[in-house]
Amino acid sequence: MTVFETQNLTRFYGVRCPRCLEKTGAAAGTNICPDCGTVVALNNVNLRVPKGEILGVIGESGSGKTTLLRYLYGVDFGATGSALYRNPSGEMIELGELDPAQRRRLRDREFGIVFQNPHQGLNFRISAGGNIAERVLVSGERNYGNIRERATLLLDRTGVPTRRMDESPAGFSGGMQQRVQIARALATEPCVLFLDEVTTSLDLSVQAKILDLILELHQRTRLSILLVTHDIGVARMLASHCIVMRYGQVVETGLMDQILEDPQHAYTQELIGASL
Amino acid sequence: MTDTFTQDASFNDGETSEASRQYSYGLMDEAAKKEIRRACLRAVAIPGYQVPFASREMPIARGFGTGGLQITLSIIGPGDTLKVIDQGSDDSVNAVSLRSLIEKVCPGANTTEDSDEATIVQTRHRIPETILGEHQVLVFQVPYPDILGGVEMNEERRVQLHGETDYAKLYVALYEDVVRNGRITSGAGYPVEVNRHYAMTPSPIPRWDVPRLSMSHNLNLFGAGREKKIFAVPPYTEVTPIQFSDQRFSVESFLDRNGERIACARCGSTGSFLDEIYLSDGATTFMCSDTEYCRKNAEIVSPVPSGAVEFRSPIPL
Amino acid sequence: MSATILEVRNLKKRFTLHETQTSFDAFDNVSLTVRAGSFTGLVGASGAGKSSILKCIYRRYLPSGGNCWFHTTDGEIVDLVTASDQRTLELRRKEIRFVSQFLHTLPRQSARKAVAEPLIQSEITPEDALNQATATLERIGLPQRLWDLPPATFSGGERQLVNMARALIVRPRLLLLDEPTASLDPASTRKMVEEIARLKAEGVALLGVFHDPELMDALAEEKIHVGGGVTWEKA
Repeated sequence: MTVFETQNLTRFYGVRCPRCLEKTGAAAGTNICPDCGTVVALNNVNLRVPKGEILGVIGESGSGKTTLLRYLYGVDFGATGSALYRNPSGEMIELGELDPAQRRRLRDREFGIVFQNPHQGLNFRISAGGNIAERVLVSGERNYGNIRERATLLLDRTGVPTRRMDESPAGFSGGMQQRVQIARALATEPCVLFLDEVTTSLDLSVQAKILDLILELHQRTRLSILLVTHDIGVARMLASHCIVMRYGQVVETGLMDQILEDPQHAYTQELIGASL
Repeated sequence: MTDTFTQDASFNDGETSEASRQYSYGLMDEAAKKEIRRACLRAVAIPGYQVPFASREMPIARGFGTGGLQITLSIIGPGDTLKVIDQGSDDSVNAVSLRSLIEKVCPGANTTEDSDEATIVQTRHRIPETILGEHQVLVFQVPYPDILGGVEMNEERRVQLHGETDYAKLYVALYEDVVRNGRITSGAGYPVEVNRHYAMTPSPIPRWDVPRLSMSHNLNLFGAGREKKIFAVPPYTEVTPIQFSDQRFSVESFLDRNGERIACARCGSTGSFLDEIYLSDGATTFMCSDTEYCRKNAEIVSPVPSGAVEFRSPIPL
Repeated sequence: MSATILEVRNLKKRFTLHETQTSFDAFDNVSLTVRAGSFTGLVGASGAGKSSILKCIYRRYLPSGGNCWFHTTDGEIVDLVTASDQRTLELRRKEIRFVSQFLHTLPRQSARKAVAEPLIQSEITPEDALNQATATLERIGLPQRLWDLPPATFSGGERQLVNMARALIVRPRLLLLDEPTASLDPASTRKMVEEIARLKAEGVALLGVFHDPELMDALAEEKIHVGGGVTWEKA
C-alpha cells in the first residue's frame, strides 16, 4: 500500500522551452535549462511513498526534495504530471485536481509538517499551547476545555514541560521548539507527516533526542512519514525506504540499508562514500 | 438621489465664498455615488464580505468617518431624515460636524436627533438603543474593516483565509485571551460570524450591541474610507459572536458590588449600555451612552436626579 | 524430507564502482536449497562471496541475476530478487531474519527495546512487544541486569545475544547467519550453538557462514562450496 504515487511529476520555475526536460537532470548535471534558463525543480519524478513507513528523501540542496515535499504537502500547486494520494478511507485522490481549499483541508486534517526553521511552522506571538490549539481548532473542536486538554496531552507526549505551555515558543530552546512543532503537527492525528530537515539546525545531542522522539511516535502511531534530509545519518536511523534525488530527478530508490550498502547510481555511491 | 444642484451660481463678482461654489448633490459626482451604491448592493448580496471601493477624498481627514460619510452621501436624498451619533451621542464634535456638513451638501434632507424619525443613522461605535425598523438604514464608520487584521499581517493571506473561511486564528486569539485572563476579555469590535459564513468586525461597537446586530429589522452598512472597504449586514441576517462552547460570549453586565444592575444616573434605565462619567469631585457615575434615548427616557420616566451633571459639549457648537 | 523454504537458482552479484569505472563479480551462478529444520552452510575462501550471497538473499545487496524462491508461511512463493521493496520489508519483519557479526541498534535504546523493535513494526501493542522481548532475552540467556541498558555498553558476546534475540523474537521461517560467533569467546559461542540447534529442532531453516570449520561440521546438514574467488575486469 502506498500513500502517495507520483507519475512524471514535473515542476518548472521559469519560461520553459521544449528542451528543458532533456537538457536538465542528473545526467546533464544541472537543473537549469541552458537554452532558456528555466529551473526544472522536479523532472519526471516517479515515486511511491509506502503507507506506514518512513521514506527518506536524500539529496543535496537544489535536488528538488523540498519542492517535492511542498507539492505533496499542498503548498505548491504548479506541478504537471500525476500525484495520487490515498486518503484514510482508501480512496485515491489526484492532488492536481483539488482546489486550494481542498488542499488546505488535507493539510489541516490529514497531513502534518515540521519545518527546519521553527519560525516557519510556529507563531511566536502566541503561546506554545495556542500554536497547538490552532491545529485542533481547524478540525472543528470548539470547546476550550477539550482544546486545552488536547494541547496538554500533545505537549506532554512530545516531551515539552506542560507548565510552559502558556509561554511563547520564542523563549524555548531549538530542540524544544522542534518538539512544539511536532506536537502541533500531530494535533489532528494526521496520517502523513512531512519532515523537512527537522534536525539540521540542532546540536548533535538535541538532534539525537528529536530523532528518538520521531521514531517512538512512528512506532506508536504507524503514520507514513516523508523525511526530507541531506543527512544520510538521519535517514539511516529513521527511514526504511529511501529515494535519492539529484537535479530534480530520482536517481535511485530502494530499501534504506540496501541503498547504504549497495548503492547503484554513481551519484549515490559518491554520496554514501562521502558520508562514511 | 438627484442631479447636480446649484447654490447661487454667481461667479462674476469674483467672490469665492462657500455658497458660491457649485457642488454635486451630496458632494460626490453621480458616478462616484453610483459606484458606492453598487458596492453596497454587492455587500448586501454577500453578507459580511468586504467589497473594495474607490474611496474618495472627503473634506474631512481619513479616519474621521470618511467611509460612513461616503455611504451616507451616496444613499441620502431630499426627504431623507438623518441622525448622526458618535459613541451614542448626538452632540459630540465629530457627530455635529458630520451632520452640518451633510446638511450643507444635501439640500432637502432633514436632520434629527430622534432615532424613530431618522431614515438614515450614521454612527461611530454604537447602535442606538431604540430598535430600528425596516425603513431605516444604519451606517457604521469603520476604522479597520478586516477582523483578521489582528491575527494575520499579510493581506493576501487574509483574503485567502476569508475565501476558505479559515477562522482558526480568530479562535486562537480567543484561546490566548482565556489563557491569559481566565475569560474572554475582548471588548469593542468583538469578532462575529455573519450568516454562518464570513467572519466580520462589527466595527468597534461594545459587546452590548453585538447581539442587536443579529436579525435586525434594519439594513446595516459598514464603510471604511481609509481602508476602502464596504460591507453589510442585511436585515434579518444571523450574526453570531465567535466563542467556545464552554467559554461563551457575554455582554457587559454593569453590576455593582452587590451584584445589582447599575441604573443610569439620569434616566434610571437598567436596560441600556452605560458610560462611566467622571464627576467634578472625582467620583464616577454611570449614564446611558445613547444620549437621545436617555433624554427621551428621562422625560417619560423621571426627572433628572440631583447630583448628575448635565450633558454638555465642552466646545460651543 | 522436510519442506523447502528457500531455493536459490543461478544467483549472481556484480558490483559496479562508478568512481573507478570498474566492476567485479562477487559470485556467479550460485544455486542452493534450504529446508525447514536444517542448516545449510556456505564454505569457501575468504572473499569468495559467502556474505554477499546472504546479503543478496536478504536484499541488503541488490542481486544482479538469478532467482531466490522463498516459500512463505502462507504457501506463497516469492522471488526475493524481484519482490517489491515493501514486500521484501514485510518478509524481513516476519519471516526472514539476518544475524551478522555487527549489532545495528539505535544508540540510546535499551536492549529490551532494541529486541522488541521488530515486533513493534508488525502491529502489536508496544507493551506486548516488550513482554515478548523480555521472554526472548530470558530464553537466549542475557543476564537480567543488562535488559534495560543500551547494548552499546555490552561486551561483544552480550551484543551478539541481543542481535540473536532480535532475529528470534518474530519466530523466523528462515534465519541467515553471517559469522555470528566471529568475535565471541568459547562460552558465548557455545550458547549460540545451543540456540541454533534448538532453532533447528523447532523447524527453522538456516543458511549461514561460520569461519570455524568445526562449528560448521557440527551444525550443517549440507555444505555449499562457494569458490572461484573474485574476477575483476575493467567496465
